[in-house]
Amino acid sequence: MSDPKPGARLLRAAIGLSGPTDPCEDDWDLWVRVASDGRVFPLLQEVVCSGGAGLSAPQRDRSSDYQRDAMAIAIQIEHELLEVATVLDQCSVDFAVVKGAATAHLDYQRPSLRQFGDADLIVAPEEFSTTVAALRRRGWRQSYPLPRHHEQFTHAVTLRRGSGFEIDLHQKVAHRAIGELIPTRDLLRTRVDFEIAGHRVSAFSAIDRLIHAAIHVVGSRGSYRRLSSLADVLVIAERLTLSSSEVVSRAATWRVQRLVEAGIRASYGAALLPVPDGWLHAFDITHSRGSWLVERAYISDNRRPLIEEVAYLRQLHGGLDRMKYVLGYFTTDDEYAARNRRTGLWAQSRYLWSRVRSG
Amino acid sequence: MRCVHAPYRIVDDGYLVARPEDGRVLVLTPLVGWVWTHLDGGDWESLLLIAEDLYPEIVPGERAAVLAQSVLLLRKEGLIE
Repeated sequence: MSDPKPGARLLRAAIGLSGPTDPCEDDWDLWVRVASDGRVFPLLQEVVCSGGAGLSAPQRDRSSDYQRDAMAIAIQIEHELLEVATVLDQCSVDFAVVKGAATAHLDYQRPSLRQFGDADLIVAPEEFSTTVAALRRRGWRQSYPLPRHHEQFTHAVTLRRGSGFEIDLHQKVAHRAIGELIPTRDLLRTRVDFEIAGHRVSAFSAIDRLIHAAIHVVGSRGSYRRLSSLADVLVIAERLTLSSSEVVSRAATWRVQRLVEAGIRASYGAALLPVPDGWLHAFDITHSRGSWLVERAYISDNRRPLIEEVAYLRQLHGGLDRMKYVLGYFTTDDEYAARNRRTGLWAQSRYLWSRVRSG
Repeated sequence: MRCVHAPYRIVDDGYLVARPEDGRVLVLTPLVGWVWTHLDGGDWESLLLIAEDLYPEIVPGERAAVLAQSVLLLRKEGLIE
């Protein structure tokens, strides 16, 4: 098992704390790897500036270069994001910027502390297909095909224009069952405004940003659970400690309070920090019923794809939707077949079984 | 004259800016970056004062020249209009 201390140190830098260790010349490569995998080069630079006395000058210079490269990508993504935002504004579509492109501006001490590799926007499911169509008319293309009839079920599609950066357009806040539990309209109703380069855009409220960040952590395990996501939870949780009951109550209205609790605990755990008393108290006093199957699917160290699918089918409304969803996996169209190099019932069944087994 | 907004980040050695026209990344020195973000009101007096803080060793006439060069650069890159 890898040493958790470099990751913990990088996470602590997001909230202005030091410890439990600092980099030195000998273990520098490990720090770079952890920061690269976790998409937290700006936090590595923070660590280097405050606790990098044991590093050589070239190592310190390299850290600065990494941060500069990460920020160069971030501003190009924002440039692309604003073009998408302009299209959505022209179409009068309500949307919110989510994840890194929003938390960078709203939650971190300064935007240059949050690295991100794509931009995420969310629109209401009722406006999803018209939004995709509007963006297609302006040159954005879907990066990968969905299984047939899965447009209404997917939580997001990835769009790209030419060789530009990826834009993930969401209609639900999370994969499968979690996305069904949290209605997008609820989140859009309480969104807040902020500015990117003088352009007014929206994001979820601080409480909803924390709920979203926490369930994102819970929904992504193993190498998919990035330090950048854990840092988002830490940064917002630290700010909202006094509103912890409000956060947990809001999560309880969607029956995801245990997932949010798991995400917050995981983030403090990864930073090797105790969960603040305010949060522990809020977790203790909220006793409303969660979704047992969803909790079983997601609160675990390893993925449980079969339970995730069952939990999702349970959340879908009506037998017709459930049948459409399942059949979509087995009726591939030409684009899907060409992209994934498999077609037909047998090939799809084998693929799905391998996914279930691999977790 | 006003600053044309564009995504940017302040890093160690200056400002990284996505050029409004095409998103290409520009690197501005701290002075040019500062001039760009403070041009909105056309407040030349403040600009000269900050230039005095940043470059105390430069005589006022040269400071004005530095600012003028900054403005030319910013206009060339479409960051002011």
